[in-house]
Amino acid sequence: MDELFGVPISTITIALLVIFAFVAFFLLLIAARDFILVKMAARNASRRPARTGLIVFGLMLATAIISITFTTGDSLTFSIKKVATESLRSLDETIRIDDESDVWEGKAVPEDFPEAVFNAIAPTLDADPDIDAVVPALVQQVAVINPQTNLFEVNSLLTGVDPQRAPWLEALTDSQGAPVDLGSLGPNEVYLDKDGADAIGARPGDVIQVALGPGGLTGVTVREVADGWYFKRQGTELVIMMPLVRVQEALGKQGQLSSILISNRGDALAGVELSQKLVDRYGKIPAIKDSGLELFPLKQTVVDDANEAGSLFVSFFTTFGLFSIGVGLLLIFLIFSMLAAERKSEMGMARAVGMQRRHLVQMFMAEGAIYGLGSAVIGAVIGMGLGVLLVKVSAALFTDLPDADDFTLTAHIEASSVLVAFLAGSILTLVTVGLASWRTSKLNIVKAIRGIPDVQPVKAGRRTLIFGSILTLLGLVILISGYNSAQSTLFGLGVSLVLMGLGMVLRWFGVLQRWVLTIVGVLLMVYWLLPPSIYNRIKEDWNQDFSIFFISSFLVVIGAVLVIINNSRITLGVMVGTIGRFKRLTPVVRSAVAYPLRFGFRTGLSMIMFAVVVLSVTVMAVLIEGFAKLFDDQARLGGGYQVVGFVENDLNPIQDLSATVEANPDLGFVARVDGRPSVGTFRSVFQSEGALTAVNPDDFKGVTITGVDDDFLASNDFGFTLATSEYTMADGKVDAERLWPDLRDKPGLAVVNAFMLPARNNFGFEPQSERLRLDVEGLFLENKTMEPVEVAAKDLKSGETFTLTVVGVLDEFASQGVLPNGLYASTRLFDAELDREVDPTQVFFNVSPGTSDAKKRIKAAFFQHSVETIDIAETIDQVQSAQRGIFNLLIAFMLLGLVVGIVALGVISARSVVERRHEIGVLRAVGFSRGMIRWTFLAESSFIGLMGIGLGLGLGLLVSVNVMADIRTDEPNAQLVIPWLKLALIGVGAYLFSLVTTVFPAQQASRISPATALRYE
Amino acid sequence: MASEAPIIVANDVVKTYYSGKVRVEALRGISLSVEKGEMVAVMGPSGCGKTTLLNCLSGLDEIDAGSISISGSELAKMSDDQKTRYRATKMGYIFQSYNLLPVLTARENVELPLLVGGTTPRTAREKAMTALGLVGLTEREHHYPSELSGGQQQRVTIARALVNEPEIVWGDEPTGNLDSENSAEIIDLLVSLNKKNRQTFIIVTHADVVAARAHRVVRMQDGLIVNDGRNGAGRKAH
Repeated sequence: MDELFGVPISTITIALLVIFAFVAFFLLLIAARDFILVKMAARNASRRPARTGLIVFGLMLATAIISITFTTGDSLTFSIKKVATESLRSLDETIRIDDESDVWEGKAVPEDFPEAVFNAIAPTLDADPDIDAVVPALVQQVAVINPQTNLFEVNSLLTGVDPQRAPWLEALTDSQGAPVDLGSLGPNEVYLDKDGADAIGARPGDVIQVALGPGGLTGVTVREVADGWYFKRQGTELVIMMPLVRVQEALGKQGQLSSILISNRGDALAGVELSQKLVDRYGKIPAIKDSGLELFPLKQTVVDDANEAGSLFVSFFTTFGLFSIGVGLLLIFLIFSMLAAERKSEMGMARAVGMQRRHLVQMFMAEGAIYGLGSAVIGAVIGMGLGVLLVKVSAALFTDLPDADDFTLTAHIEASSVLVAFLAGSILTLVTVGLASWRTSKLNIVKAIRGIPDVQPVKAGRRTLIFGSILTLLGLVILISGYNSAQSTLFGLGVSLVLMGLGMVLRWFGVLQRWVLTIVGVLLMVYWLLPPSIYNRIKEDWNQDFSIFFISSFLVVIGAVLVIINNSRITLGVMVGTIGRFKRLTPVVRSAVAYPLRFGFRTGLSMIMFAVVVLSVTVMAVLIEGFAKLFDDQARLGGGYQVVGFVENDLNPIQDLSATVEANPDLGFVARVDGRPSVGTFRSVFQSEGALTAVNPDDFKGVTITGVDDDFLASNDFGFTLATSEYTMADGKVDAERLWPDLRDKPGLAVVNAFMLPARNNFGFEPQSERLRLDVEGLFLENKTMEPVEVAAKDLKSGETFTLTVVGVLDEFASQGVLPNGLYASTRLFDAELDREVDPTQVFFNVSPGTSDAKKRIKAAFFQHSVETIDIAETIDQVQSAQRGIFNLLIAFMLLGLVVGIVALGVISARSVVERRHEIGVLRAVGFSRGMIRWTFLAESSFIGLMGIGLGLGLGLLVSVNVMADIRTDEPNAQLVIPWLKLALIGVGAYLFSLVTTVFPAQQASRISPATALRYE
Repeated sequence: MASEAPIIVANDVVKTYYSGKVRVEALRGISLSVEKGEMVAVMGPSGCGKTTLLNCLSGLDEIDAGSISISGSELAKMSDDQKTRYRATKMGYIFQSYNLLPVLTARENVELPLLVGGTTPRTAREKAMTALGLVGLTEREHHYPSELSGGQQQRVTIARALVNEPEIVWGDEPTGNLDSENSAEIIDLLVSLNKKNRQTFIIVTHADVVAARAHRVVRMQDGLIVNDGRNGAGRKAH
């Protein structure tokens, strides 16, 4: 992983190091100038070891979250790189056809090139000290069957390399330990790789059959099984190795090569470091460029893709981890507020004898640094451990995915990531500590010394008016900007800031704090819980991304907590009126509610910590269930088909799918409609480009153009998300029954995969793409209808161009399944516009109900055409199972944030026992038993925890209802499914865990002797 | 003795604060002047405003009306930083309780005003030891407050109050938490320091034995000075 949110990790590391150095310098300056402050900080930190441990545990969460996400990202990157490098072995670059080269402008792009090119450049490359091997090769994907075992592989690679040069690339040995010598092979002999031989049960001496073309199968004898291969592609199951000349003869491509294989100096991992240098050195030399070729950094590209995947993964997890990081920062505020409350008298006295305010800030900063640095180290380490655990669990889930056999997720930790996690965690903690310290330094000396509580003045001072006005203006600017750019996050943030700013202004006018905070709280809740129907009346075309989830969760919870805390009498009345009705519970309930509500700040913060995490998890859980139901629609995702086949090579194209099915008695289970097999064929042109004629007619970008056969047009049930008004019915749905036939009858009409359109609501984490998209102004996936979009299309193989008019967009969910990305048009258009045959690339089958093993039987029947099959229902199950597992993992990851709330309760409970020692004595004196004291304290912390959890669940459900209502405007099939059991488990589990840190203080309180307590002032 | 300007001058000082929703007029127009080297006892019933007067005169709290000058400098014109610096370098405080920082040793507590006032650590240490010597506690320099008796803690507080050679020492019930034997020792110490160093002492107290040793007793009631004069012992300021 080398980037985070698009910023290089190296840049992030340097920036963090600079900031950390600055902060460290500041702290060292404090130590140098006023070492007494550092002494006080260190001694305060060690004053109560148990509490310090609790604080460090709570503070480490932010660092742990960052460390977990980095460890998982690094592991994914490492795993992909490992698989790729293991597959590519010593191979670093290839010289191959460049289908975008100007040489092929207006011409058909060939699949191979003359050996003369190799002869021309080989001497130069051989002489380069950075290159170990230069090997000419001809490779072809084929299907192979072992008649001895009846096992076959359609994804096999016939590899022909120069026997003399091959050992420079790989020094393979056979099962006897002897070096693989291609030159010694007999006329019909081949080497197989070990994995491939195992796949078809082949042993030395076996004669295997290779499908090389329409002429039937060609038999070859397995001379030996080798311990590796010269070249293998992703997904290749079996490699057949022969001398180059024999492959050229077998394929009828004498004197031709498909690639020149290059291995750089150094081992499999070190060689890739030289790739860019070699591309720069030789990429533009005439021998390569003028031949329409390119020097392609194969391994480097795979490594780059691995890094990108890791970065996306980290971005994904970091986004969801923001909730926990956010509440972690709130905990810092709470802890320092509690510490300040505890030492108020000391601080007042220190101010009295001459300590400036900045000294207090510096002292708390120093203490915060001790907690913060300690917690960052622990958090980074624990995060690594949890990250490794997450990876191991994910690995188990990934094995359920199709095509996961050749990918293993391996835990891996990068030192740079650990450093970034440590630095980020430390800086976040120290900055928040600084803010909290500044706040606590603003104490009134006299009140502090005498222990008099701060009373809010009736009318706020001028500073409040100024700050409130600034906040209101800032909010207005953000609100207007958000409205104009249709960014719902900005708009909502602006509204919230305006409310808060106006609240402060009202305070200056003398409105009581209680009323101001209540009104602000109510309005925040109302705004953020607005149903989408009302929200969309403000503006119809809002753009949304994950930031709205984060911002809205915090603000709606803050609003609710403001209302509860500032109307404590009502809350108390409700609680006493309900739970407190039981006589013996009345005093406990009263105390349980009254005391927390008296300390509004700490109680409010703790409730927010619980509520934000539970809200976010609740919304996630509901959305996961809703989308799971959506994805469970096999008919929708499969378009009515049950089996899909992917054609792996064009050696023996299927001429007529329907006829082939009809002619094969083994395929009697394929369903019939009107006597014809219910099948469909795609013929995708992958080497093609498109340009939007109305936007930028000269800007051609790569795009796949898929021709759909008449059979497919007649038998498929794939739906559409969006279409022109001509095909949109009165109820807003697209008339697929008219659109598909029109594609056939009006060649030139086209539809697109939903990924071709930009979306207003962008909750995805897809990488940026250079491929063609329909970036037309005003055109979004969420629109009700669309205008036709004209696309100029170019087939790179033949060089021919033609025009397509896009009139529809395929179903959004189906687009994520078996449908290739790009444009779709009738194959009649290909017949009319292209001078060449486009072979089938994908085939669809509708099978009779009750058919078993349909995918295996179809694969066997189409073996000679190299068709790899999937069963749609089976694939959906596998993907859903893996997705569900991963999302549950994500929920568990988000629930880590509850640790913060639990620590907060522990800190509050411990403080509460100290603050109320005298009162405990009074309670015991008037008849409270030890047990009642214990229950009183437990009940108080339970009140805070349960209110927070309940608030999170309640608000989470309300938010979920709104979110699903919004989704259903575009996706009516989405359902609101509330996973009650899961939510109940989360709620109960969270509450029980919250008791962990409160049981001990409650027990301590119950053990205080009345006489001792009454002496305590 | 040449007459000097008073070190403390307060004119029509008014201070009001809120206790919950109740408005309390703690000081209702106090005028007072104190000469350099005087030991003044401020007495009165609970809630009469004597501690508030002390806090206002020393700059710990702000007044709502009137003026207070210390050595000719008006407190209202000083910023918070300036007042704090003034406290660190020219004033000493002795409170009834919560005097010492529990995480610092006796010597470190005494050093604190010097260090925050900008004195070098070496000089601060020497002066702190001298101050501890004055109160007879040099052998306790490394003890934490929790390891000292009530009387010893108060002595350390006095050492801290005097370490920066202040012009004025403010005491709020300095013997309030002590038994009679310790109280007497503390008062003897304060009187001897007042005589020796000619520092001005303003002491809020309930105890007549304390007031008896002062040069002057100011009696307050309901936020006003009701009596201000030499005490019965007639001890003169130098």
